[in-house]
Amino acid sequence: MQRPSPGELLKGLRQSLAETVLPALPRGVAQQQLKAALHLLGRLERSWDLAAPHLAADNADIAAVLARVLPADALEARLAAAPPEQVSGYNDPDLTLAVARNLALHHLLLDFPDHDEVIALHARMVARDSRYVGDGVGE
Amino acid sequence: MTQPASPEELAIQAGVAALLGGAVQIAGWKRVFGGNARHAYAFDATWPDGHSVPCMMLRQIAAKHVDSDTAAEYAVLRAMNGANVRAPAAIALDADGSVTGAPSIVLQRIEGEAGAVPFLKQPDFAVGRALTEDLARATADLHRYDWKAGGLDAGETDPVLAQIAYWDSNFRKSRLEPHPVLAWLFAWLRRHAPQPERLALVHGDLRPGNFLYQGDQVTALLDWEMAHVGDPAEDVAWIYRALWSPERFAPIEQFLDAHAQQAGFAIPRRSVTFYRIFSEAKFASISLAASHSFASGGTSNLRHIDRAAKVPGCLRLALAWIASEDWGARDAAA
Repeated sequence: MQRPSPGELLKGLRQSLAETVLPALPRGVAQQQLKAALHLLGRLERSWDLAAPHLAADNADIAAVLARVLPADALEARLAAAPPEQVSGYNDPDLTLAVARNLALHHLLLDFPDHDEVIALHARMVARDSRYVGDGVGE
Repeated sequence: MTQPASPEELAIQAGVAALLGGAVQIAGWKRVFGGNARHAYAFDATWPDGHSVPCMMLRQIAAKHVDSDTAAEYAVLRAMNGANVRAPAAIALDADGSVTGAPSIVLQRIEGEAGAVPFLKQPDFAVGRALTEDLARATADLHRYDWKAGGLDAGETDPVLAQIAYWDSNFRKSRLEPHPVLAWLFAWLRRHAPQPERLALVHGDLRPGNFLYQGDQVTALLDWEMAHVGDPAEDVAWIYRALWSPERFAPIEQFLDAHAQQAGFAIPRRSVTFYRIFSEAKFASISLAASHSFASGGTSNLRHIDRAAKVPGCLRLALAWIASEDWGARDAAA
């Protein structure tokens, strides 16, 4: 079953609330809350299926940089020795693993803040994050 | 039509009267917009000798994302009473809320509009430009204020590094994930902070929405909770953050020229660029605090649920400004 897709559901939800509920609300807290919710629904509509490719690209890039920064074969050992990351809000086991690895890699980056390769990596990470949150910035 | 005061508001009014000396008559009580964490009330206070003062009470009603101290805000405003700074006179303080039910300050009420959107969407370009230039002059009046003579303190540590440390600490308390780029950015700021050519009283949150205006004149700077002694470049950079910048009325160079003419000193352009980078780190820190506040149940305001999504945009701008210049280390730049 493919239709309606999650994106279509989010779009329908956002449009219906904007067209039927928002005009019925008087100015005030409830209206402000709905406007904020509609804004977020729009962002989720644009990004709900980007998490997996975003995480795959981020993890691969960071792991490649850390593999050059760390002694040979040390990266996976460092990750294995790190405390397990707490992940919530994901349903798919593979995606959950990718999020946990991403958090572990980000933690590891904190240990090498001033390495030239890590500093160059920052710009790529920020560009990826910007696209992921939907601010429309290219890499 | 005036709404009848609720029992809670009647209790607050009684508390205000007590705070102002007991024999004061309170009239024209009206709730006005005060932000997410504070309620604001306008009223007129009349003392037994007949003199009357238009007042505004700011009453903290919720936890803030960013720690601030009502007593410190009052102390700054009190120090500036009578000085040539466009700030409301400080009238009374209830620091712990023991008199009025919540930490509160009573200030002189000044006429004007505070709306950021009406200012930024001002259809008359000439008015927008004149208002922006007057904001530069009002900012300069603040920056030439003699804070030492006013009894204010720069603190024991380097005030520039203290600001960086404050927002870095706020970030570390609030983050829900490591954010290695932002962590690196705060370290970069510490290494490259310029030595200010002069220290000034800095407002700390000066932007459209935090000043009153009438026509093309700024009537008062508001919301002094983040005021501190620091580098005057900090205020200019914050005023010109992209989200609320008056750039379309006056480029930042024009603002700096008007500021220099009024202040009698020029803010180095490089310092402004540094504080534009600082401003992005600060805004990212505030955004993560707001996001954390929602996640931990501190607020149910949906404007904050997704505030962490603002961080990549802040970092993108900060990295671009860092790349735009050669930055020497802090000591070398002194």
